[in-house]
Amino acid sequence: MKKYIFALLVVVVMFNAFDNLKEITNLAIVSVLGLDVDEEGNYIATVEIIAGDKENNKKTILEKATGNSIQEAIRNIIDKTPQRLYLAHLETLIVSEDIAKSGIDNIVDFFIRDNDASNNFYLFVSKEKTAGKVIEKISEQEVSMLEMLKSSEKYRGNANTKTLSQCIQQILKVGSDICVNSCGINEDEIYIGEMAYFKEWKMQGYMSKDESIMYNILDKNVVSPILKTGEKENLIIVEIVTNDVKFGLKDNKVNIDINMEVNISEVGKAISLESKEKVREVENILENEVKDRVEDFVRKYQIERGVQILGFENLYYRKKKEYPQNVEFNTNVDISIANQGGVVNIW
Amino acid sequence: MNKIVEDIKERAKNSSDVFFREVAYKDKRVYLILSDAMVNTEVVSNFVVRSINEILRNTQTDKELDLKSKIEKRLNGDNINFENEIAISKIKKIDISKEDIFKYIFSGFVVIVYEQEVYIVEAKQNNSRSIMEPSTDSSVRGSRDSFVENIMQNLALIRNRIKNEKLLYKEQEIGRRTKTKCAIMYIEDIAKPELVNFIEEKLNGIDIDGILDVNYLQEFIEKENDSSFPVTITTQRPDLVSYYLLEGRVIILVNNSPYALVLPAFFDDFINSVDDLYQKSKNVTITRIIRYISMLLTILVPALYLSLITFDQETIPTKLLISISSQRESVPFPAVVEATMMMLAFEILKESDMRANNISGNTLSIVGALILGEAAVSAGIVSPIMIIVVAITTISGMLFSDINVINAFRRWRIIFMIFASLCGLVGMGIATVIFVASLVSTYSTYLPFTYPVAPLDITESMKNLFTRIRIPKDKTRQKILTNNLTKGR
Repeated sequence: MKKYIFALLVVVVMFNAFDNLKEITNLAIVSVLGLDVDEEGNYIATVEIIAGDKENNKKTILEKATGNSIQEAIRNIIDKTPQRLYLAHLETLIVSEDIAKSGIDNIVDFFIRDNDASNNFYLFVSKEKTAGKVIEKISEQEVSMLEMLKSSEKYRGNANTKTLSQCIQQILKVGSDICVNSCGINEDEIYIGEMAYFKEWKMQGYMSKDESIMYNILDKNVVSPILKTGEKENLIIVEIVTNDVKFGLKDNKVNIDINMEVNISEVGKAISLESKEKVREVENILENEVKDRVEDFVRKYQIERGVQILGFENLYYRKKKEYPQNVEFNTNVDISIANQGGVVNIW
Repeated sequence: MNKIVEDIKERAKNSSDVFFREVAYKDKRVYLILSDAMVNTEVVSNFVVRSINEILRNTQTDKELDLKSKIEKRLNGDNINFENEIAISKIKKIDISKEDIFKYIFSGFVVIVYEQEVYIVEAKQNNSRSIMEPSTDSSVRGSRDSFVENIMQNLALIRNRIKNEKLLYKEQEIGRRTKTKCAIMYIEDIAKPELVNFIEEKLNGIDIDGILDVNYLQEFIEKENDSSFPVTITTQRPDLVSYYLLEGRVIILVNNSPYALVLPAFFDDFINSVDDLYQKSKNVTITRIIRYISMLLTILVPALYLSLITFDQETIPTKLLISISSQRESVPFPAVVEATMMMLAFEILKESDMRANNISGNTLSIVGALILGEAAVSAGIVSPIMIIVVAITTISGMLFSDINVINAFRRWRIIFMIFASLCGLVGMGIATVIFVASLVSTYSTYLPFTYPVAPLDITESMKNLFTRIRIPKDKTRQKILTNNLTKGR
C-alpha cells in the first residue's frame, strides 16, 4: 500500500512539471534585446533571434514591435515569429539613453519578475539614438557583445562585466550606485564606449575613458590596464599585474588602500632602473601619480557630483554612522615593480 | 538370467544406447551394462572385458595349482574380487537398492553384475573441449585459461593455483533428473563458517528436476532478492576465482557450466576488473575512476539529454543550444520519441548481434551501422546529436563484462529516461533517490551489496574502491568476509 501511495505522489509531482515541457525547436533563442521609447512613450523592443541553419552556421533574425509596456512590446514580437521567444539565453540588453536617463527601474522590475528570463546578461546604454540601430549593426556584423566586453575588461580595463543581477544587488544596497557600459557605432563599427554612471535608477552622464579605467581599477580590482606618466624623456608606462583595493573607515574618514604590482613596459631616456634606490624612485613617481588620479576621481564623482559609485555612503551605513556632508578621505598607494623587462638584473 | 540385469533391462528397454553384454564361462555369468554414448569403447574392451576374461580364464594356463580347485576358487562368488583385479583405477562396489544405477550408466561407468553383486567401473569418454581463452572476462595481462564444461577440469584449474589442503571441495548432486554435480569450494580457515552454512543451506533447499547452468543456482540463491543487479559474480577465469577464494569468498561450480559462481558479490566487484591486479597500482586509479564515470554515463546520458533539451534549456551553453536546435530542426518527432526510437533500435541491434552467427553477424553490423548512423541522419529521422548520445551510452556500457550488470544498467537507463521525459532534471533527481534506495537495500547472501560505501568501511574504501593498494602493502583481509584477518596466514 505504501508503495502505491509513494508511486502516486511521484506521478503527481511529475505531471505538475509536465506543462513546463518545451521542445527545443519551438524556442526562438533571443541573444540581444534592445529597448527604445518613441515620442508617445511606447516601448519599442528589438530582438536578435539566433538560429542555426542545417550546416550549423549561425544566422540571426531581427524582429521589432511596439507596445505600451515592455511586456506588451515583447509579446507583440511573438506575432511575427512562429516560435516562442526564449529569454533565458539573453546575453545583452541595450537600452537607449532616453530610457536610461528616465530610469531603468521598470526594466529591472520586468526581468526580476519574468521567470523565464535569467538575469545573467549585460546591460548597455546605447550612445546612438536608438538601441534598435545598434542591434541592426550587431546583427549585420555578427559580433558578440559578450566577447567584446570580456576582452575590453581584460585587456583595456574600460569596461566591466557586471551582470544585471549583480547591478541590481549593488543598487539595492543603501548608498551605492552603479556604472553601466555603453556602446555605440563609430564609422560603421560597433565599439564599447565609456562607462555611464547612475544615481539611483537614473543615468547622469558618461565618464571619460581614463575615468572609466580608474573606476574599474577601484571597483572591480581589474588587472592589466596601462598607466602612463610623464612625457618623452620622463615617460613611464606600466602595466598593472596585481591590484588590490580596500575601502575602510578610520576616524570617520574613508581610507583607500591600493596595493599594486606593475610591470614596466616602456620608459623614457631619463628614467634609470639600475639600482634599487632608483627603482624605488620610479615607484614613488608612480605612487604619486596614481594617488593624484584617484583623488581627482573621488573628488569629482563622490564629492562634487554626489554619486555613490564607490559606495562611500554604504561604508558609513554599515558602521551605522551618519554620512557627513563633506566626506573626507585618505589615499594610500603602494606600488612595487615586479618586472622591469631589463636585460641585466640589478641584484 | 540374473534378476538385477532383468530389472535394469526392463527399465531401459526404450533407451537404445544402453548396451548389455554377457561374459560367460561355464555356468558363471558376468554381465556388463554400459551406455554407448558415454563410455570409451577402447577402455571397455581393452581393460574391462579383458580383465574379466582373465579373471575367468587365466587359471587354465596356471600349471602350478590344481586346475579344478583354482577355477573353483576363482569362480566361487565370494572370492571373485573385481575390485582388486580389474585394471582400472576407479572401481566401486555399490548397493543397488540404495543407489540409482542409471546415474552411473549415463555418467560413463560400466556396470558389472555378478550374481547379487554390482560393481561400477569408470570408462568415461572424454567429451569435454580443451581449455580455451575466456570469452567474456577478457584481460590484457592475466592468464589465458578459462573454465570448461567439465567440473573436474575446472577443479584442476583452481587446484593448480591453490595447493592447500584447506581448500575444500564439497560435491553434491542437485536436480532430481539431471543429477548434476554441484560443488562448493572455500578455504576452510579463511571463509566465515556462517557464510558457508548459509550457502550450504540454500543449496540443500533446492528441489528441482534439473540444473542446466550455474545461473539456475544463482536464481535460487538470490531468491528473496528482486534487485535488478546481480548479487553473485559469475566468471570464467580461474585466476579471478582463486583471488576471491583467498579473500574468503565461497565458490560454486556446476558440472556442464563453464562459469563459476562467487558469493558474496559487492557492487564494486562489477565495476573493477581482474586486470587491475596485473597492472601498476598507481595507474589503476585512473582506470577505476573512468569506469565509475562511464557507469554514470551509460545510465544517465540519454536521460540527461532529454531533460536538457525539453525542460532545462537554460542550463545549456548558448552556442551548444543553437547547434542542437539547428540539428533538430529537420527532425519531425519530439525529442522523447526520437530518443525512444533510437534506444530501441540500438537494443534490437545489440540483441540480434549477440544471437546471430558469425556469417550473418557481419552483415548485421554493417546494416546496423548504416541504419543507426549516416542514413538515419540524412533522412531526417534522427539528429546527429542523438547518435552521439546513443554512442556514448553504448560505449560506456561496454566497459563492464557481466551481462547481468549491463542489463541492470539498461533497466535503470530506461527508468531514468521515463522520469526525465516527464519532468526533466527534477525527475532525474527523483529517479536518483529511487536508484540509490534500491541499491543500498540490496543484499548479497546476508551482506550489504554496496559495501564498502554503505555501510562505510573507510579502510576498505581507501584500499580498494577507487585506488588499488600495492600488493606488498596490503596485509589484511576484509573484515566482512573473514575472521582470519592477517594475510600470509
